[in-house]
Amino acid sequence: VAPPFRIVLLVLFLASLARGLAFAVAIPAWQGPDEPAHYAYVERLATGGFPPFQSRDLVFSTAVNVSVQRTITSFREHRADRPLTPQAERILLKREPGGLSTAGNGTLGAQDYPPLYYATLLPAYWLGGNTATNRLYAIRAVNALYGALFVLAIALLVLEVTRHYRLSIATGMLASLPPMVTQASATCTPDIALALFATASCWALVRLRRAASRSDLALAAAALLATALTKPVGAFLAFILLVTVGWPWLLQTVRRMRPALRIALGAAVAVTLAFAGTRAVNFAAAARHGALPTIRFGLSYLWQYYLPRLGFMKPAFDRSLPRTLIEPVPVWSTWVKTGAGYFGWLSAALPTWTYVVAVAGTVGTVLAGIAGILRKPTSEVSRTALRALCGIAAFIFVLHVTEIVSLVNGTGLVLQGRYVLPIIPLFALAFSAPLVHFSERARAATLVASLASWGIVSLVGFSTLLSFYST
Amino acid sequence: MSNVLKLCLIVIAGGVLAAVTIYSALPSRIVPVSLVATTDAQTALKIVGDHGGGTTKTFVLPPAPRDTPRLGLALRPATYLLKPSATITVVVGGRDRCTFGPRQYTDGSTVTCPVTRSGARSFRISVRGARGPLALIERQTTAGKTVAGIWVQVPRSSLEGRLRFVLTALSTTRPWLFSWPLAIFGFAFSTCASLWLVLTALVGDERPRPEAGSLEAESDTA
Repeated sequence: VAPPFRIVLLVLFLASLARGLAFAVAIPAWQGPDEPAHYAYVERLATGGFPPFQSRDLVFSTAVNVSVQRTITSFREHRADRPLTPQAERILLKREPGGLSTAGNGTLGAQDYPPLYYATLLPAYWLGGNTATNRLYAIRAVNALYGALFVLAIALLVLEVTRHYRLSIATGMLASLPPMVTQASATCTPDIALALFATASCWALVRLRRAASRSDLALAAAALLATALTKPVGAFLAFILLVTVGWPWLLQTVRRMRPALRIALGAAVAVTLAFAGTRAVNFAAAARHGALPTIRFGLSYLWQYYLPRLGFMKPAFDRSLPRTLIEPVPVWSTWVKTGAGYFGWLSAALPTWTYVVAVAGTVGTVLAGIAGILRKPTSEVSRTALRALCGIAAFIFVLHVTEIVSLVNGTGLVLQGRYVLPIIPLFALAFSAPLVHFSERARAATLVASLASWGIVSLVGFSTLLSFYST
Repeated sequence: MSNVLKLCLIVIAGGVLAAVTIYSALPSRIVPVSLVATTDAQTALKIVGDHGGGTTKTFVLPPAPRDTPRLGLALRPATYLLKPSATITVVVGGRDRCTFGPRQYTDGSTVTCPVTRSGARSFRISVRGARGPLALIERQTTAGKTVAGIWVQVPRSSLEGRLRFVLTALSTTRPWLFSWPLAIFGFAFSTCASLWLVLTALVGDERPRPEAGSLEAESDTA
């Protein structure tokens, strides 16, 4: 990397870190998605427990309970009187005492998650202070660091593929702007760590394709392993990245292997994915419904997800859920609303026009990216982009399968847009990298439009957080 | 344009963007809020009967919180779904007096009487000209006492007051390191830095540099 570009990368890193920390302050404690559950996982590890091996009886520690009471419950109870003056809040919300018991059991929603992400948070937990709130904010600071590294990794990935400095900076910027990315960087959830490891995997795989040195091989293996060990769906993501981004190298490597080794490796991958599948969804419960009804339901589900329901179809979605999550068809509320920005448990949504701007910016980038691919369809960048597109489709299909199985069980949760954060590197490869095929002016025009639209969404995101949670 | 000038312009533009963003988040007005922790339990104490008329009653107040500026007493009159008709006069501690005409409150709404001296232990309410029933909604404090009037704070509605409100809220229930300076300066810095990055990405001097070994270079040579 040329020296002037190092400074640019440093500024990109610092800008993302600062934005993540600003959001970490603006979002009240425990308001991140499943934040108490994810924090509890770290707490269990810190106190010698291992959640996947613990019983399902959930017992939050006294430290967490008191912190939640002091920050969320009291806060929410006073929402009827909102806006609440800070002076009044200080009088009503007593300070949380330090040194409360951290003994507990289980982690609620994160029980089946692999431990890597949580293990990396242990130093922050230990150094964070003597209250659960202080420790939570220390963990949030580490997440902001992950978010900044993720943005940096996106820029390096695009640079690795295109060798175009300015395009890589712009792509890094674009990846940092969606408020949902910043929220993930600002709360104790593993999404941004998974996105970071996935981007590192893509970067290492692209390098492997070029020159398979031992260090690159070790780096790719480590990054893919980290991806697999961050969330239950991480193993599927690592496999998808290996097959799509690492395809030519993978093909050559497998061809060079002895048949026995090839079979052994295939079996190991199959077993790993099957195990990861049992962690991600409850297949045993779904099996009671039978394969055919599940497939029939799945097809109906997919139709209703992206298109209005037809008369003969049974409703695939629980209409008792908040309308904002499933109307008019779930694709809007899931991938657009909760993908662009939809904050916290109290559901601070962005103004509707902001989602339209976000969609316009994204559609513009996607169309430009496709045009870039069509301009030089045989170039390596275009072929990488097409493989990344396949990866995006495959990962979204995996998400849908997990959702279908959960829905068949009757215990399903609606998908959330933040689940696609880990495939942002694939979006960067599919739609941003092909812009290298454009002229300077056309590329600049496309990037201005994308950056402007997401820049506006980012600013409105912070304003929304402030007005919702601080006034 | 010199680099220093560029930097100044970026800082000014970023600062303005950040300021506009924060300004857009400020509440348009801040209503007085409780300084006494209460439960959800509430009961209506009818002080004027169904046939209307007038009355004067005195209620005991819990001690007011000390060192709280812009103190007020909040009451919630209820008119049993009828249009308000009475004029309500509240006298707090014998000194502070407020009068609320029928157009200044609705059924179940909150009226606030600013209080200049915090030592008041009781307030007197006089109702005149009611054409129907009128009640005061009593709340229960977390200490278990039933109160007809709640001590509240009347926040400043000026720009400074609203800004201070948001900034202090950003520091409440957070560790000291994660308070409003980090949020505001972090946001302002990221906005300025993002502007600089966008300019660098769009109008910088660097050209595409296909290097030996890059994917594009490989493709071209192939």
